[in-house]
Amino acid sequence: MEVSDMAHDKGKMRHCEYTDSVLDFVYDELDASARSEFEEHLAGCDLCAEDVGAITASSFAVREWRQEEFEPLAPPRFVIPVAAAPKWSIAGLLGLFKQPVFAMSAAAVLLAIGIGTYFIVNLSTRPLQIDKAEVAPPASVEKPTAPAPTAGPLVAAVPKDEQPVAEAPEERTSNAVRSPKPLRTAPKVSRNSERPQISSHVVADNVDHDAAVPVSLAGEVPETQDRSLRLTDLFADESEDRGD
Amino acid sequence: MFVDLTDEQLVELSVSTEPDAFGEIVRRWERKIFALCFGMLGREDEARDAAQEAFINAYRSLPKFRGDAKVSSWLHRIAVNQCLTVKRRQKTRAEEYLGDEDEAEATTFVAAASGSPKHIAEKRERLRLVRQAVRALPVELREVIVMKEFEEMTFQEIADRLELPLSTVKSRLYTALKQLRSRLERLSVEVV
Ligand SMILES: [Zn+2]
Repeated sequence: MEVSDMAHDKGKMRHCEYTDSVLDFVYDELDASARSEFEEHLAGCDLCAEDVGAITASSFAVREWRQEEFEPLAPPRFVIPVAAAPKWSIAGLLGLFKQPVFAMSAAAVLLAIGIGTYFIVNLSTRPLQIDKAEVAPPASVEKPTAPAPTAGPLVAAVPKDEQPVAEAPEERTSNAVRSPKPLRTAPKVSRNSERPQISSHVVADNVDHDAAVPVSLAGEVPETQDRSLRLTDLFADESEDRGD
Repeated sequence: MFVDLTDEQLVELSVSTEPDAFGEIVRRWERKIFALCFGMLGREDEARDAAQEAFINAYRSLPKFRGDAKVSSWLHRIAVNQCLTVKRRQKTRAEEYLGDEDEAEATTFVAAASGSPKHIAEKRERLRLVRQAVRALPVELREVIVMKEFEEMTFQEIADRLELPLSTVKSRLYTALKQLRSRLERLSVEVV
């Protein structure tokens, strides 16, 4: 029991046995019979009459404050920014995989990664037989695949039409296209480095986070440069073979 | 879509498959949490910020929500803690700027002007004293007054929300209102 409660309990000893009913009476939470009994008592008890007066006055003062300053205010409308995404616990994530939909999705993703890896390994080990025309103009090279926006807006506490607009996907695409070293195969960039980092700060800085994403996507991939160097060597060899 | 679900079901959904379910929690509680923050802080701007932060904190700590807990109690605790954080910041600022907290507070008056200038001035002064007196109460006393007068809860609802015995809630409210009365009388005398 807290100090204030104890103080009150001591105070009760000096008070009348009906003191406990004072609050219920003021806030009209007594049933009809208890109310009439208290009213009868109140007529002859100065202590309870004083209590009722003091508590009614305080209650009235706070109510007036609420009516004058709180009630006229516009209703609140709160939005949970994207950057406030919850920190998912490991247990929670494991719990997700107990559900068939998530388990099947995870299996499909793993399968896709496996197949993708198989092709990448095959392409990189196969001898290069590339026409000049295929390499020279960057415009003819297929666009690198932009990563799926896996870390998009997770939730907003407002209807969907009021959610913050994520501008990142357009930026990603444009940056990827502008990449000066076009890739023939998908770059081996760590998937983690492609994901926007979700801020642990409370401030609604989702725009900054999204803006930060394309930097890693548009960044140079060392393997690309290595490959270009090798292709240059190859063309040099071909030119020599043809006697140019 | 989520309207028929209980708060606890909504939280469970938010954690697992439907993050949007938390939006329904916010919609259900935003007015009450805002009222609580307003009563605890006495200023609209701070109350809005505190309530917003409280919902963000709640959303972030969804994975830590105990399944057997009540969402109402959980949100209430988060909001009160957020109000205490705001008060601490406010106190630091007031100390830094040599107590201009009261000046800032005076600007929150939003009541419509009606009646004679004298009447308006008296009411304004009365409301200022009430804000000041409520703000001076210990947190656990201020909290029950705000729940009763701003959220208009019954004693039993307050007891459930605070997870306290009904007798403790009544005892606190009784003490709070009596203390408030003494403070208001003292402040009025000081003003006059
Ligand atoms: Zn009595």
